Amino acid sequence: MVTIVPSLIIASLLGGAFVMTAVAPFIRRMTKYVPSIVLLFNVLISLRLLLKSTNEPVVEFIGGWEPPYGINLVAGPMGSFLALIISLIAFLISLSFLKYEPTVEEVKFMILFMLSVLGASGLVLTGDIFNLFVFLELMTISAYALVAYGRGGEGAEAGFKYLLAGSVAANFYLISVILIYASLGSLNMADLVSRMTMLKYGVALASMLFLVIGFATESELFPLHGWAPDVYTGAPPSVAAFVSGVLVSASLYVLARFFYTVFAELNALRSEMFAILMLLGVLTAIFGETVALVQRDYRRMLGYSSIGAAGMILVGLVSEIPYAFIGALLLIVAHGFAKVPLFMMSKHLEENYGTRDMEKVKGAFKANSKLAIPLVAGSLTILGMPPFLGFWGKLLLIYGLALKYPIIALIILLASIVEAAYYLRMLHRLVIQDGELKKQIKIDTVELVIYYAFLALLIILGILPMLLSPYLAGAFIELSNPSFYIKVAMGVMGG
Amino acid sequence: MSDLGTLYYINVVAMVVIGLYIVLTKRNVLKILIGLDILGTGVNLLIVVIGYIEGGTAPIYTAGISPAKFVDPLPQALVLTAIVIDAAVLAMAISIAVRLYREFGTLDVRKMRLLKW
Amino acid sequence: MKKLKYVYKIAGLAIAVLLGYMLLQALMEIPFGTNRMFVAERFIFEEPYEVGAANTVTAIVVNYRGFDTLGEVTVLFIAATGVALLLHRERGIRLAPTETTLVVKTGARVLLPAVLLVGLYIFVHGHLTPGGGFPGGVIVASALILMYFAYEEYVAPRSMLHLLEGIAGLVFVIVGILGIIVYGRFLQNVFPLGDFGRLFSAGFIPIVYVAIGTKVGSELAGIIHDMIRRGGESE
Repeated sequence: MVTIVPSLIIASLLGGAFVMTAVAPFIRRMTKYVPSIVLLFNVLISLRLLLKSTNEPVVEFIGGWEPPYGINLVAGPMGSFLALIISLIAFLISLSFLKYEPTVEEVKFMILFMLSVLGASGLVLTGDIFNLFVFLELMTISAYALVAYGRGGEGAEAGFKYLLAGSVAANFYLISVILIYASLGSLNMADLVSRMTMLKYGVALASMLFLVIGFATESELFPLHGWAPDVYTGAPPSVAAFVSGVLVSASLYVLARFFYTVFAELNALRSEMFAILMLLGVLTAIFGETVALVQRDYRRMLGYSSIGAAGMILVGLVSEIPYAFIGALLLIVAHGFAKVPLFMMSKHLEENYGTRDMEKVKGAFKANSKLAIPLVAGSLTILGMPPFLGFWGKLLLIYGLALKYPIIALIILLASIVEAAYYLRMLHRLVIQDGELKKQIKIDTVELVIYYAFLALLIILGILPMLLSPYLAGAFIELSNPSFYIKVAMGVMGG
Repeated sequence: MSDLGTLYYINVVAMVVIGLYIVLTKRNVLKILIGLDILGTGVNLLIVVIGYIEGGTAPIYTAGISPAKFVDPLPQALVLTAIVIDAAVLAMAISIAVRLYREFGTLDVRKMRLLKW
Repeated sequence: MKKLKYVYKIAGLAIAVLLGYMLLQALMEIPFGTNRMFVAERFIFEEPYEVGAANTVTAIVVNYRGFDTLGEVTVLFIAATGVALLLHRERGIRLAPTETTLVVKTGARVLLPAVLLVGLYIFVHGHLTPGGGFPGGVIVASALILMYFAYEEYVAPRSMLHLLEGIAGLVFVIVGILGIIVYGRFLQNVFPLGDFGRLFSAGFIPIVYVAIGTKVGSELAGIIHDMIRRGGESE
């Protein structure tokens, strides 16, 4: 009766949010279960979509109107993969809502969280460039509120900066969309592929420029990353992890989607843009890792690490090299999974020791092995150590780059070494060194479950990365082969 | 191209430039938000402007008016969405501004530098 | 440090002007006023048969591109929730005192039903005349704002507004899910198209617009409430 369609992911989150709103003034206690239930449902749906995506990708024509007249949701390998990762990260974060009886504010927090996930999920599945704008706003506006909810002045400052940067970025993207529509009369990605050559040069250039500025800002790329370190420091820890693992990754996807698929026919401009994007990625990686090195604040360090990772991921995505691309996708997963426990642990530092300054909390986790283990595992993942997933990501990325751009591969390798330096230093301070602080930190079971769930995922995928390979390869094909994407998006293949 | 079109385009660009300039350079939180509003309105104006068709009329079926004379209805639908989104962002921004004032006691962004480096 | 301030201003101006210039160059290549429609042509000509609304823009907003509208409604919902979340710390103190006379108070009471009716009319007739759910909802909200101005003690029934907001949103989602159940596609119209130009026509458009009008009205009223009274919940 109900077919498995991508819109279920959107509808469930929306329905859940509306139910919570209507019901919260009356029965608040039960609302805390809604996000986790809905997100678990979404994990299962996106998994199903992913499994079908390589043979019979599911495409849904919203409202029944075929593209380019209607909006389509395309559950190809790329989209379903990202939707799955987003749902999984969100689901595990949502478990942290189960801890306590929610206050009125916390119910609203949960609702906003669900809506941000909704935005991100729609963003990666949509096949329409204006619809993408709507989902972008959904994803980010809820994030502004979530960030601003952080403690005291830090939260408000971070939220404000994020709002400014994000709103300007979104407006720029909208300009890009309108330039395209005004010239070509269509908003559908698949349809636009064949029309692109009719764009006048000036319009194409401006359109690409505004698009890149907009999404480079959203992806925290240098030099438009200004909002990011503040957000990572000032937002509530789970929100920081969510921004890093989900929002940034979704934004990077958009850049890849446009330049691989939509602008596929504009060869000259496209090559120039790929070069510029690669340069931005390299600069971001260098910048992020270097600045992270001098940070004393635990969260700010993680924030700059996140920026550096975004740069590396971008380099892999726009390299047009299959190995590097797949490595970048694996890094999106590894990074997204690892950053959640890492960020959430800063809460223990703040609550028990009152500071995030790593100089002052030596040995903080030394007596708490239950916390130390996920901390070490998360750090090693980001560094790229086996047996964690990050190893395969880094390996494929650097190997793939070395095939065509050995210098860039070398730079990424050096950046990774810098990364290793400050992560190991952090681990040394927090886990190995002896300090005066030897508190037994009280940990909630729920939090432990979350940390170890991510740990388990990182190990499993680290040992069996081939579970993902057909889908990642499919994702690369979907992006780099526009005719394949068009066939899928127009519903010629599968259902 | 018609002078009228050029005028509209210049108007749009002026609003975008002014809005952007205000957001980038002003120090007062409320002024920055006004700049953001101007930027957004400029973009919305652009959306409406590109939909115009010479000699066209409103795209509503009315007795005696042929649909062949309609202007492009799609940008009108898009701008509806864009306006609502802009309004929502501003509402959110104002409440963050209220929080900022509560926490810092000032509306000067230079004084809100808790998060250094 | 004064020089630094000027550097920032000049840099900001330069960036803005540069971007503006590029935008203008691009825009000049788009001929103003020419018919460059592609997708929209089908909307204009087929819409009376496929959707049944006299207002083409409404047909696009609610039906052809109804997914965008759902997103837009959700964005407004996010704003309302976010405002309530961020301004919630202090409990229920009215921060915007207004002193009004008997004339204003009585006038407001008289106008209230009229304004509500106008708003209601606009969103119920969205598929026939310009307007629709959003302007209609705004007008409805302004009726409540009128009450806030006239009466300092006035408190909108917050829980009721939340309930309405949630239910209206659910109506939209359920209409969409009906499409999945019957046709396997979200938001596909399952309601009869009726006679062109009549009130009960255009499939689910009247239903959706009523839902949107209610939602927008209750949400905006809620936002104003939260800003004026700093979010005290009447629980």
